Amino acid sequence: MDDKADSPDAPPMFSGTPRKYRRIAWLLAISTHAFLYGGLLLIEYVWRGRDWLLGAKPIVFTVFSMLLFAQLCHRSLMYVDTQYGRGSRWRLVAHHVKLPEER
Amino acid sequence: MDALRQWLSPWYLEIKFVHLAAVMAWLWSTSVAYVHYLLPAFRAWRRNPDDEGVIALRDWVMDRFDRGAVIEHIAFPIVMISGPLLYWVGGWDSSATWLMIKLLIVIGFFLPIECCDYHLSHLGGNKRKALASGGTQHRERKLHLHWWFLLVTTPVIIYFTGIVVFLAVTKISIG
Repeated sequence: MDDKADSPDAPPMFSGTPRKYRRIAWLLAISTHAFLYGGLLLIEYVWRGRDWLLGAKPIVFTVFSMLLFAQLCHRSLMYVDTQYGRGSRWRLVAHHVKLPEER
Repeated sequence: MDALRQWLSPWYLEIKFVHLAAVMAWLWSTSVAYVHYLLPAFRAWRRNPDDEGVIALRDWVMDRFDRGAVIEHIAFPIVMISGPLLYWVGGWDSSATWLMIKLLIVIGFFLPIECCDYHLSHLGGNKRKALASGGTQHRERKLHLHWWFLLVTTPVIIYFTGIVVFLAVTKISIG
C-alpha cells in the first residue's frame, strides 16, 4: 500500500498536522500581540512618557484579543487544511479538460 | 522639505484617494481566486494527495494565482509610498495612537508577509521556475512551502486587516 509513497519519485508528503497547527496558532497569537503591545509601550511610555498602557484595561484587552486570535487562527488552519470532517460536501468528478498554459 | 510639504498639502485628499484605491486593490484582488479556486483545488489535493488529475488542477490553479497576484504586488508599493506621504503631508505624529497601532501592524506584519509573497509568487519560490530549474520534486517542495505560507498568513491577514481598516476609518481615540 505504501510502495508508491516510498518510491524515490513519489511526491513529498505535506508536513502539516493538527498538533503543529495548535502550536502555530499559539505562537502566532503570542508573538503578534507581544509585538503590538511592546511596540506601543515603546512609543507611548518610553518615547512619549504616557503610562496608560500599563493599566488593567489595555492589558485585559490585549490578552482577550490574543486568546480570540489563537482560537480563530487554530480553526482557520484546521479548516483550510481539511483537518475537519471528511469533505462530504464535495465530490471529485472526472472530466477530460485542457488547461491553457502560456508558451 | 518644508517647501515640498507645503506644495503637496493641498493634494492631501488626492493622495488619500490613491492610497485607498491601492489598499482596496491589495486587500481584495486575490480574494475571489483564493476562496473559490485555490482553496477548493488545494483542499481536494489534501484529501486526495495521489490523484494525478487533482494534482494537475492544483498546479494550474497555483500558477494562475501566482500571476494574478501581480495586481496586489503593484498595489502594495503604492500603499507603502502613499501612506507615509499622507503621514508627512497631513502633519500626523505619534500622538495619534490609532495610527501608531496601524503602522505597527503594517510594518510588523504586512510588510514581511508581502516580501515573502513576492518571493513565492514571482522570484525564487515561483513554482513554474522551480519546475524548470529542479524538476517536479523541487516544484512540489516549493508548492508545499507556498501552502504553508497561505495557511499561516490567512488568519493573520483577515484578523489584522479588519483592525487596520477599523482604525483608519474610525480614528478611534485610545489612551
